Amino acid sequence: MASTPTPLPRKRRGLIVEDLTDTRAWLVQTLGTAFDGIAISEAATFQAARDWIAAQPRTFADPDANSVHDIALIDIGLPDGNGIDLIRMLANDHPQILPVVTTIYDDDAHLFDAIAAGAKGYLLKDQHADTLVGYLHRIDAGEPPLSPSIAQRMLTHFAKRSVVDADVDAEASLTPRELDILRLLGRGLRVAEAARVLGLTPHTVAGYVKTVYRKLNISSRAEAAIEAVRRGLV
Amino acid sequence: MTHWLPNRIMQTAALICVGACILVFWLALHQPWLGVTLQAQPDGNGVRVVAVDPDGPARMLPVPSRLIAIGAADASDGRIALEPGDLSEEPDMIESFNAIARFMERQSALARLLSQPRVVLYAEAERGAYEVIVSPARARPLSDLPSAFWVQLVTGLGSLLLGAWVLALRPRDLPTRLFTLAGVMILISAYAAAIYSARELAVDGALFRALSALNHIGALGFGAAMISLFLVYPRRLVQPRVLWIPLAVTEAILAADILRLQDDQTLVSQLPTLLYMLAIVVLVGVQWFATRRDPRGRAALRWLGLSVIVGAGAFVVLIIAPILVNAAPVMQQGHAFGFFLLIYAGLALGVSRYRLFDLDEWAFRVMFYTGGVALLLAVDALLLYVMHLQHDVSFSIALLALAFIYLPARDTLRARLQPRGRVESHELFREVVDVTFAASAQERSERWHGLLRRLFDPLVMTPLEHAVADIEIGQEGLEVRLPAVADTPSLQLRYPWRGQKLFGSSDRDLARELVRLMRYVEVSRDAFERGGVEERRRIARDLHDDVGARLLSGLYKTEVTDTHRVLRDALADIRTIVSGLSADHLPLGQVIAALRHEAGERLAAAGIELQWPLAAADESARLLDYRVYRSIVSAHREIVSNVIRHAGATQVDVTVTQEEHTLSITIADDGIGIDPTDANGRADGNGLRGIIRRLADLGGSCTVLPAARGSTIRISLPLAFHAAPGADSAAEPNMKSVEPHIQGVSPRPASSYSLPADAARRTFDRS
Repeated sequence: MASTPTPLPRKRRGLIVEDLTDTRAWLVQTLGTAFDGIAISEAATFQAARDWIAAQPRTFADPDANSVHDIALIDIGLPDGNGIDLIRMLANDHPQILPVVTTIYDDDAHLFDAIAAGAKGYLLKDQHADTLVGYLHRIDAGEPPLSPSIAQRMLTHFAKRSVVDADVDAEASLTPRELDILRLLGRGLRVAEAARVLGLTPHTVAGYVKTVYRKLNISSRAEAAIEAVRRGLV
Repeated sequence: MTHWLPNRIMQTAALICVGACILVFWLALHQPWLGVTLQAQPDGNGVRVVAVDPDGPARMLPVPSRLIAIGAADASDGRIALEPGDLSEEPDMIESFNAIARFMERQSALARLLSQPRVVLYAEAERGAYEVIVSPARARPLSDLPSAFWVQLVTGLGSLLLGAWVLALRPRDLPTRLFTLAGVMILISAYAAAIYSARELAVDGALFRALSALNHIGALGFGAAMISLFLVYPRRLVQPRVLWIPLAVTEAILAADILRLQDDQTLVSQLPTLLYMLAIVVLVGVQWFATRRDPRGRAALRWLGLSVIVGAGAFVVLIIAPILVNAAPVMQQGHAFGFFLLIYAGLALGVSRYRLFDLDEWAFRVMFYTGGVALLLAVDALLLYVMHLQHDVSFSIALLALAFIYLPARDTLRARLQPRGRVESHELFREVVDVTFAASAQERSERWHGLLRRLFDPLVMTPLEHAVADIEIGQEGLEVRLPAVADTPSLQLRYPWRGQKLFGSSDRDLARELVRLMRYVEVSRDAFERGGVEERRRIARDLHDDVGARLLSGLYKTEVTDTHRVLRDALADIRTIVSGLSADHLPLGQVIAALRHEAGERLAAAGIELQWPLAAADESARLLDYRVYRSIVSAHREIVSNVIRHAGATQVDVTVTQEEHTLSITIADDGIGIDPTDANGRADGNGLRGIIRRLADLGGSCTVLPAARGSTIRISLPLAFHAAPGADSAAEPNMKSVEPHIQGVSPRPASSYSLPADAARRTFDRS
């Protein structure tokens, strides 16, 4: 692989995938407010979003933490497709682009699969623009939100999983500390409160949350592979 | 007899058969033996020798030749010239009793002669006359018995065993008893004839007479039994006591025959036989007419009548009728006995297809179990015996063959002997689920019909006017009535398996299991659907009461920021509904988690700090009823909204305490505080008013506590939801302890004061 020229300040790019025109315009505005000078593309359909993604250069390594991320805000319920497929494409082939779900629901039924597919965070569309900007910054900094129901669903997921293949893949199993954090978030505590209870900094706790996101993605990919083998697809 | 198990009856019959066979073999083999096969010579001069046993006493006799006479070797006067009549297979063919008496005398004389140590055979062949001195063997070898003997042996065996089979299953029914009696009669008749028909040349006259009498008793007894059978089966044409008539007639004829009351044998033997046969045919015809409206009886008659007429009729036509017209029988009588087996083959078919004698597949199961298992054991014993003889290399090979060929084959055979279900039980369950979960009532009904068709293949399937509660088999298995399931009324199924079989007990069991499964799955499905309907109803009410009311109030707001707030609140409500907070029951811990999360997010957005430490209630798995947790969520949300909008607070402290059956949530802020007597600036009409009403309905309260700074509101609610407050409080002792406090008779210290629901309503009402 060709060596990439180091820290040449790159212009941040953004993608908004949203079928509602007004909402899209508002999201474009909010994303612009959050990140100065970001180059925003818009897609009203699954098809358009897929074309945009296909046109992006593929990267094969995780970008290092200091590099500038591109951000894709993706609505899951698109008229011509499922946003989760877009998230999966980004997570698999374009790790420099952070997929973020935009939704009006923050429950597990709507978000768990998206996170498992590789979403790096979610935003509630009915929040104030400045609140949203705050969340965007935090996601960008690797501090994704986690609602109680998703935290509980994750606990259930990893508990079930550990029964099946406890030590097969440490990459996809949770540490006791991560479990503690999930339990507290599952009780409705916010990151800062959980940090206080555990005697950690909020930044550290947020980092754990990000790790849990990643592990869920890894474990669901592994499960998909196992499932494919089981069904004889591979 | 009625207490006998089917197996026991069949085993007894088998023992009788073994005994009869031993007797027959003994009598047939314990005769002097020359080892010649003789045939009648038409010209009357001696008999023809057609074959000679190469190992027999008469092996020196040339073939072909003519045996003229037999004489004693020691006395010259003992010579008896042979006549064609001496070889007569059946003395019945001799017309007069005088002729029979002469025949019997000659038989006795010949038998006496042959029992001498040495006899002279006078024979003539092409090259001249021979006189051969032979020593007749004491006994005849088994292999020398002619084929006719074996046919008669098997016929007698089959008739008795199959008769016993029917009797074993229906020991108390008159028709089966008569049918079994007929089988016994065939055995007697056939075995008696087997002994004398298979003789080489002669048996003792006395034995011959006795056997002949037995043969007649058997033949006419069979006829009488069959006549009686068709008098009462399938339709009962006469009262059972009338059956003494054929019995008496038969006895009279037999007496005349055996006691020689009448010289012409045809009158007391062949003619009655023929008349009996005619009577059987006539009775079958009468039964045919009598069963014209009884398909089941007609079906049974078709098989039984046909097989009796063909079986016994063939015998009569081929053997008896020619004698009456002085012609030679068409075939050997011994072989013709085989026709009687037709009757029993017809019986087996009739039982399997038309429930002859009300028997069913289970009858075959009984036969298979008794016969099949005995057969397997016999084969096993034989194998062990053969193994025992072999002690060389071939033994190992045989052992391998046994392991790899016989044992699997034996298992397969054994599996065949077991009754098989037409539809496997797991398959049945899948079918039932498919029927029950079909989309529409019409489709369910169609699939139910389809399943029944697959299982029973009836010719007619009609809805019943009068519903039945359980499976009913009607008209002796011709139809079955099923209770109403699968959105289909009670059904009547007729002529199962395209009219080729009738419903038996196994079908009833299957149908019962089927209906039981259908009902079980339907009840489960209904409960599931009811749950779904309930939940939809709750969601509809939430949408109407919460979201609808909010959006409506948003319509009337003039300030855009107010409209925004209303819309956000409405979205929050929707979020609550969608996120599963519409379940029938939720654990307390989960409700608190949702409240904490929501309050935290909202207060953070408004720049207000939330302090809500974890408490015991957070871990509570206690299930809250929908109405209880909804009112908690609504009240809490409303109070937090009020703080955000009006209090000007910087921090909110929430504490949750769960006493035994009461949940209290205290929300304290450091804002401007409220005047309990005039909450004008803090209340926002509809929302809180509705919440207070909901709390009061559930026996809860909303209390404004005195605070040094800001305001402190406590909501408390009994966790045990009472469906109709006061209606059956006795059944809910927990409520009683809570009630005084609900009513405003507060157990709290005097320093705090409580607003009973009414007062609170009044207080917050005035916006």
